[in-house]
Amino acid sequence: MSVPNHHLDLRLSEEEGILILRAPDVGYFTAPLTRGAVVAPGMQAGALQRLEGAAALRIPEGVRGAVISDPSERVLAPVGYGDVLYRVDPASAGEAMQDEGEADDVGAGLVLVSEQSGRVWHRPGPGEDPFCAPGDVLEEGAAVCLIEVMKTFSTVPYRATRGLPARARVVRWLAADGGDVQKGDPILGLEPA
Amino acid sequence: MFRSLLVANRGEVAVRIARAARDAGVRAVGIVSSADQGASWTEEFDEVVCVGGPAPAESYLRMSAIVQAARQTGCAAVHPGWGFLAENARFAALCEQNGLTFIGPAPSTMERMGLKWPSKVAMRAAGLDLTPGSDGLLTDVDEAVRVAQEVGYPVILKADAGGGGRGMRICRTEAEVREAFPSARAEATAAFGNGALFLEKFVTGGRHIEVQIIGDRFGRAVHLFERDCSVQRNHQKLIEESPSPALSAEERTELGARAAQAAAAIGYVGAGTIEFLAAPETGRLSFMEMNTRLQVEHPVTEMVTGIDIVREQLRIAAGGAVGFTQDGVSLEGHSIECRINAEDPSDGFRPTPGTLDEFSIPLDLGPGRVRVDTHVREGAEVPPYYDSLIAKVIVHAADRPQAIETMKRTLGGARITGVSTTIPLHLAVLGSDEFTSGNYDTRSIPGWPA
Repeated sequence: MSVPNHHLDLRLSEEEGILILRAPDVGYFTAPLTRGAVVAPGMQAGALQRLEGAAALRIPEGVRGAVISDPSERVLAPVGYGDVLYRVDPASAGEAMQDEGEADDVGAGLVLVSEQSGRVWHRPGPGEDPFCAPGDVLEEGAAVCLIEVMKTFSTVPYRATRGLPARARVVRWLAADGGDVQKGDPILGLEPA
Repeated sequence: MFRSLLVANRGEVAVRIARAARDAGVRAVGIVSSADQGASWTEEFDEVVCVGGPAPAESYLRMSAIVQAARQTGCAAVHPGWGFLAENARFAALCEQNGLTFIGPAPSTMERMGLKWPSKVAMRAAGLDLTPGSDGLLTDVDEAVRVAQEVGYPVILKADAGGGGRGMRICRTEAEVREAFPSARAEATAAFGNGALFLEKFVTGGRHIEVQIIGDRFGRAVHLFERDCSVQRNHQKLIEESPSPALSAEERTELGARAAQAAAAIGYVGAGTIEFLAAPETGRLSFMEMNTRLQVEHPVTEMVTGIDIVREQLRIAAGGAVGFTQDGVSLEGHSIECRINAEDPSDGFRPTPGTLDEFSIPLDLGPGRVRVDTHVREGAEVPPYYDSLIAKVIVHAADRPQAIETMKRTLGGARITGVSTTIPLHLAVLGSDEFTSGNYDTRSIPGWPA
């Protein structure tokens, strides 16, 4: 895959309170966000390989929420202009976008947030199992994911700080594998174990 | 033959090509703009890819998006139809670079025929007559004046890269040539980035007669006789017919043979049309231009020869030879085509987009056969973004009077409401003495007040 040489904003429309993000051009759609990923304006949400090269797809202004659609099973999915790439539920934004430092108890959920800005990787390496998956119980120091900052990878451990309990069960990923996070963005949805 | 083909066009021509593809067992992939998405005509395709927004520049003219659409749908070939990218040599080259067969002549042939002077040089070398004028591009205004005196006034200055009348000036005196030359050059430079001019004797009136040719990769070219397209408005053809009522049988055979020889001489591959102007009084036929694509009016030729021109295009593009010999082409009966546009002829041909509340054209009012090429049906939208052609009615009968009669009955029985159409104009033309006599030229529309 060639390096994305520029960005294209996804095209936005709305249907019954759900935000629809559509392909801005014809091409092969790749590296999609997964269901549950939390999106905010400016985030990269996959790439489109066009005749003139690859372009990073960006979340446009006014879009915050959680992806509620499943990614294509094809690695390079052919899409046309205007095809639906993501459905985003803005109602999930309140739950998912807790980025003020404290992990609030939202409904049954707790949130582990990122301490720094970077790119999140769910797996220690390509083809390997993720560090954790929904249903796993995390204890102090357990590896949650990798975060890539300026080509340096560090392990993000589970810490019982900021209101998180000593043991927590993983509910779902809130940051996409390969997705960019800002400091304070949610990585995992949790519940007390 | 190709397994899959992308049709880089919309509307009537897209449907025409999709049907030819299906007849040949080829999977047809269509492209649409967001304005055409879901239109009834897109049902003719096995697969449709949206390539952009409503304006042509956002969709049907986006070369890279169209090539990408062909790649990701597994197409081996691209048919450009007419209009849009059909005569764009860069698009043809982009297709070839990406391993797609462009259904048309080589990009270099398109390039040469797209420029006025190079195409004239090529055709003169291939044995066709040109309208008297400058021998090549003019170096300065003095040369223009000298050539004008040789060929006699009035003369017309034309831009080599011209189109749409820009850089074009009609001059009746030396003073007018001296005045027009610099402004025509400046206009051509501004419009086309190419200020080259040439000069020809200005012919008013005359008839527009064009010859359909088909060439293959093996150096062979045949002609499918001529079409007469002299019923025009502002250089837009309204009615076309084959054969031309202005040619005798000998003239017909000779013109066809010369056109086929010229096509073979330039190594033309695929279907193309060589346009001639028949001078008033003398009837002398001089080369005007070559269209390196399928023409809107190709059905009249199909009706009188029984040859499916789009099918031939596909066969030749796939590496095949022309499927018949010149001796195997015969002209039978007479065919006329009327272009039904969503325009109001009584209001300056103002386009009238809208919804077709009713749309029916009778096929059985005889005496001849009727063919309707269209992409619309009752309830369809005629969007405001594209050209106004909604249907072509083509009739075929034993002779010209019967063809005219068939067309009159057919158009008289057509019910199209929701948009205005050019049918009233066609009925006026078909009913006029000028048209039935066959004696008219491109200056005015027979039977229709100027």
